[in-house]
Amino acid sequence: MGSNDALVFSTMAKYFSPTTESDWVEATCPSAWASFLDGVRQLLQDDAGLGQATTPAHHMHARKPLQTFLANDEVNALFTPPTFAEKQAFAAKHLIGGLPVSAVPVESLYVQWTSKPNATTFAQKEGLYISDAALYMQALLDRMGFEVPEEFASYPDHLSIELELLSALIDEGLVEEARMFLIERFAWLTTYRLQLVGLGKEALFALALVDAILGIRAQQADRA
Amino acid sequence: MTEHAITRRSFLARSAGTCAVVAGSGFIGFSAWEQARANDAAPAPEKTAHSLCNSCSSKCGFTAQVTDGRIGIMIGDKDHPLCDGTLCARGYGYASIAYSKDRLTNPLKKNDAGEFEAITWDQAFSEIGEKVQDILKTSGPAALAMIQDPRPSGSFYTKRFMHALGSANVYTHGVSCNMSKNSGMTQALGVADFTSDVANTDMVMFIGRSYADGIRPSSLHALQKARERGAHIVIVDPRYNSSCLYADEWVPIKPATDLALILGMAHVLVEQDTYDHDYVENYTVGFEDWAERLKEYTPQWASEICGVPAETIERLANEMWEAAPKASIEQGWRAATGCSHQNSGETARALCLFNTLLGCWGLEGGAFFPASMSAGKLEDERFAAPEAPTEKILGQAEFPLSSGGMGVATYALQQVAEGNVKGVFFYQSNCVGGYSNPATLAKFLESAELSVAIDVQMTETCYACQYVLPDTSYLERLEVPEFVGGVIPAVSLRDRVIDKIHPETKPVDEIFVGLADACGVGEYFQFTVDELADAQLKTIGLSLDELREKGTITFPEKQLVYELKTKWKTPSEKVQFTSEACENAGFPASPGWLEPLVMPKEGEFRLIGGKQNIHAHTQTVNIESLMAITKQYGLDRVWMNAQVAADMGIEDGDEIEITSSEFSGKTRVKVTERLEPTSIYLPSHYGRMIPEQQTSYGVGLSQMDFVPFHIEPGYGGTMSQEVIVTVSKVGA
Repeated sequence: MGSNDALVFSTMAKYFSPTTESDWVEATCPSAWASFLDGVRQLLQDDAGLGQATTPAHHMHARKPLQTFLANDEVNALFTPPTFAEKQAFAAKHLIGGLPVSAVPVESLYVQWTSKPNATTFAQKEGLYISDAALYMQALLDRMGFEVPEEFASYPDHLSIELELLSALIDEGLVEEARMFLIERFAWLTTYRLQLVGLGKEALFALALVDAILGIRAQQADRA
Repeated sequence: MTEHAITRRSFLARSAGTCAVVAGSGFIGFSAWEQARANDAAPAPEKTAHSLCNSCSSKCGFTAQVTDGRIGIMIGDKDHPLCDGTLCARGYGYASIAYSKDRLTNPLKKNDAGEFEAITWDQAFSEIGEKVQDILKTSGPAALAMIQDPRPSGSFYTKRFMHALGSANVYTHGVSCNMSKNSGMTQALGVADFTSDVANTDMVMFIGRSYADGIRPSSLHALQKARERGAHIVIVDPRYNSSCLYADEWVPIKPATDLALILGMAHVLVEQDTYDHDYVENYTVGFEDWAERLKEYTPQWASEICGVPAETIERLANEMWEAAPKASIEQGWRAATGCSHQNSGETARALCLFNTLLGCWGLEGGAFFPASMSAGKLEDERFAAPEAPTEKILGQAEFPLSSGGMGVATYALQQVAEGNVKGVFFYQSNCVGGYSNPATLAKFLESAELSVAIDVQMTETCYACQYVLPDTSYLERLEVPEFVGGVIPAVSLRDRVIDKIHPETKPVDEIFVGLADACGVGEYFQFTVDELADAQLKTIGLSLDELREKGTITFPEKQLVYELKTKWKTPSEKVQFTSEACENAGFPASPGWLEPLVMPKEGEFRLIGGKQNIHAHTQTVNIESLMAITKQYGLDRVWMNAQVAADMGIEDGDEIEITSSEFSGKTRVKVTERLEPTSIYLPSHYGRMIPEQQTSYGVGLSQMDFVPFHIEPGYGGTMSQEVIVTVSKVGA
């Protein structure tokens, strides 16, 4: 159970993580997807705190369209979510490491490794897994009683995990914590989106999701 | 939630026993978390672990501290014979490979469009196994080859895997490293290596090798001691390399003519009758043949070829004799004697024979043969070795002087194009990028029915293969014990320092177990690497737990004892001034002058390579902290002699274009008096051509791109400096 805001972020997480085919089909079936798009649109412009939507969903017609916040081709991509096979194909080429077309959605790769300059000779370099961001995420997940799946053990700062945790914070009704988490943790997506831009049309759907997160983040930052 | 058509099914699970709402009290913002960490006293390391560096082939032992699950401080092991308590910059920087964004994270297969896509291990093993079995059925085991850069587990598992399949075709990187040195020395001495006792010498001459560039810390410490003792240290090299800082004298020489220098110096000693008669008479064969041959190699003759003044050649020879037996020419490694020229093997042979004239073998201050230690026979049937293949390694017949233990890897790849080799495996070997001309080697591989590369990051070799299997980094795996020779031999361990980072990577032992199962020879791999390591150590009265605790264990009872070496592992059991095997391979019985394959004419240069002390071949250039040094000091520039540059109107920092028969590329130039005039020096490791290595891509030029594909007759070296280039100023 949870608010539609939480579901929006949780649905986004599914695209960047391994899912079963049935999970993806369920998440992208027409009714679910329409609800997801409504949620994104609402989050991009409403002043309410996360999980505190005040306007019924059927009032969506009063809001600005997604085109106001996202590029046309991104909106088009959002309106036609990839099939499970397309999602898998994208992941097999781009969500793995070591290739020129890699776009691994792990925060550590886009931030300084550690703020402790004498920790190692490469302490202040970027582009390295298990940075301070990962240590923080692991500590936070531990404190909040979450277990990271084994395949993500070294990537607690994976975009999917961060989205899921954001979703959980919203579910718990921790409005201010969710807002702080969104603003603090997702700044790296401004760099990550450049990776996706470099991949061209193939990455439009992922780019649309990332730009939507950045838009929602900006909207929440404005609430301060 | 009924108003929502989707349901939330998170893959984040609650820890057992945790009630739903610890959340509120558990949340902490990043800044607060970071501040709390900063306020804490420096946390004690959770553990320390021992490992072996992987930034070059020396594999220095070190102890690593692990804090927050991450590697922190690294300390070189004092007892490790090659490390001697110090790691070099490469060792510290290279540790970041474990965390690199360029790590391969999944098994990959090239699709019809030539792009790599992730596949499962099951699919990879199954398809590779099927292809291997097809090749075995249609062409036999000799149609399979393995090329690997020897590391402790890699050496064991690759050889066992190939022998289990019935193939002797296991190759190292030797062709592009020390193949000709080892092979030439074997013809003279019956052993492939010796060590100049630099720390205790009165005079040592280095020909092409630079301890301060291709760093092995203990060697550099020895050089420092020699300097402090007032030893006479001479560096013979076309370039003023970093070791010259420790030397009394730099002797610039035309590259590929070192053999002439050695022959000229030998001529001096023999003609003057100033050599160790007692040693030559009692412990050598064939001296008369060489003495007769040397007559024509006067210092004047040598000078005209190598560019070193005749009086310098004479003086150096006499100074060596005066210092004997506490004197030697150091063996070299990759340069003059290793793999660079058509005469590298013969240069290595002549070098050994010159040292023989000094009577220095085995004596303090001369040249010794490191004490060694090894594991005994394993009694447990699970470890029984597969039957050794009956056929010799492919290439041995064509290059009869080449070391069979290394094999001529470039010839094996050429045989792929010839249709004689159909399946090739690479383990931690960037053969395509560094062993010879990359475009040619990649072209050879196109004909393979099966090509598989195992590595931690995408390399030119991986790129040319059909399958790429992701290895764990050296910090994430246990390997079999490494036995290291030295004054006091030792055994050392590469243990698991940090947990595996990428779940879909596998350590080398698991990869070969999987491949062996898929290829139908799994019965030879019914043990874990822990069991194997422990069993090997038990044969010498140790255990894996003990070595884990100590990292390096020495064997003082095996300590080297200085004594004149009088018995050799040659056919005659003496030092061989003449070699029947060399004669059979088309060389003179004793070494004489052998022309290089090419010599620069007016307006041409020989392109030479060489290490810098922050990089090891192509392996370290993608490390950001090391590449940052390159960029800060412009180390990717090529060197050009100052007078030559002035004559051509080229100034320091200009962009120049270098052109050979194979390749043309532009880069900036460092104009210097520290290079002899017929050479252009290009640091060997830059010019990576694949974008997967995001740090190194596009920085500098690659030496091997300019070098034609060819193989040193008889010895099998890659002749990496047998290439003529022209130079022009861009925009002139």
